Amino acid sequence: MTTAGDLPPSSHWRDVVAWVLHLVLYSVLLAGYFLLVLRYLAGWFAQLFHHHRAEYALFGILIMIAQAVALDSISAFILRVFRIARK
Amino acid sequence: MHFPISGVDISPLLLISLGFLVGILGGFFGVGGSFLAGPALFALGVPMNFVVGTDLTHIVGKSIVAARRHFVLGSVDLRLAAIMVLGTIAGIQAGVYGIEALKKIGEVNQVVGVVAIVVYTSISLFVAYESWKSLQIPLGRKRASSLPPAAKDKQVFRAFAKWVQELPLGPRIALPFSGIKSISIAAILLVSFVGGAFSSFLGGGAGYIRMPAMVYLLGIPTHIAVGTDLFEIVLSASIGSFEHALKGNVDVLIALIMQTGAAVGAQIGATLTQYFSGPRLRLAFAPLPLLGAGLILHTLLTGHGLK
Repeated sequence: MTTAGDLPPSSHWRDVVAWVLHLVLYSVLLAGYFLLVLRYLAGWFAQLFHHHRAEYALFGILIMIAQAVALDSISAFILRVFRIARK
Repeated sequence: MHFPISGVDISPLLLISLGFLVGILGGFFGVGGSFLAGPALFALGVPMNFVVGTDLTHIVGKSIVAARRHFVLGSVDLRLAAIMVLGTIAGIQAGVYGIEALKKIGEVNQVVGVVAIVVYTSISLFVAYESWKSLQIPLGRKRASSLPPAAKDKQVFRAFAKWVQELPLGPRIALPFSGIKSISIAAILLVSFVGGAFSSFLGGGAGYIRMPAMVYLLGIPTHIAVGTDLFEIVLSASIGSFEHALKGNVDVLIALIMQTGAAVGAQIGATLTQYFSGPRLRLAFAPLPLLGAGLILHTLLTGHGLK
């Protein structure tokens, strides 16, 4: 089995720092995002759920996919910039 | 925070932490982590029908992130995934109808809870036994660390997988990416149907049953089973979520908040799979479903969190 111990120390360090950067980035994003979701989307989704179930289902899936792709893209971008800077 | 759709009060920080944890599990083990997320939501007071639908919806976003990572790493068998999607979609429909039937008679918490306990415990014991036996098999003169992942992936049930691959059921297909010369499409569809049914009946992507089934029954190497399972879940979970949302079983707000934590957890988990493989990966997975079973049992017995 390949273990983390087989990798050069610089690789470990880079991964750890990259993950910490991820966490910091997500913390900032979450703070702003929750303001949006909790203040504006909650009531709108509740209305859709009770009165327009098909639209609720459709928008629910779409916003989940959009959120996942957006968060992953931003995260990957930051990681790429960080690794390029290290080189 | 009050969630007006499901009518429960839960701290968003708890949901983020839960999402983060299951994100790591999803990326690392190739399972959605629903065996922990579902029981945890249930223990927090979310009704079981919302647990099932919401967990499945949360899986949509999380699996996209994790599957994309595995695709880049080259651990996805696209031909296998394409066939499995068909069986999974049919299975999801069966599971949704099951939940609706239980809602009508008011027994969804009890029945789904008991089924989940039985399934999670069985999976946990089976995977622990198989992984432990695999680790006892000597790998020969060559050191294990010098072998490629496929060679290290020794399986106690390899003979059984071979028997399944040789079943005289047509039509058949070759899966060269997974190292399988020929296998019955019906066997793949059956495995994916069962996985889909569990997915929409118990919530999540049901990777806890599909991933072991791919490894032990179909003979897919573990690292490819992990990546392919995630890739296939993206489409199947989307359809299942839509069906459950139409039936009023999804709280999108809970799913959105959980997914924010899961997104970063999935990336960390997927990266960790580069360091571990085969039986050791499966052995680490073994106790996790048991934790979920214990959580559901506790909630059912004490009624804690349930209204």
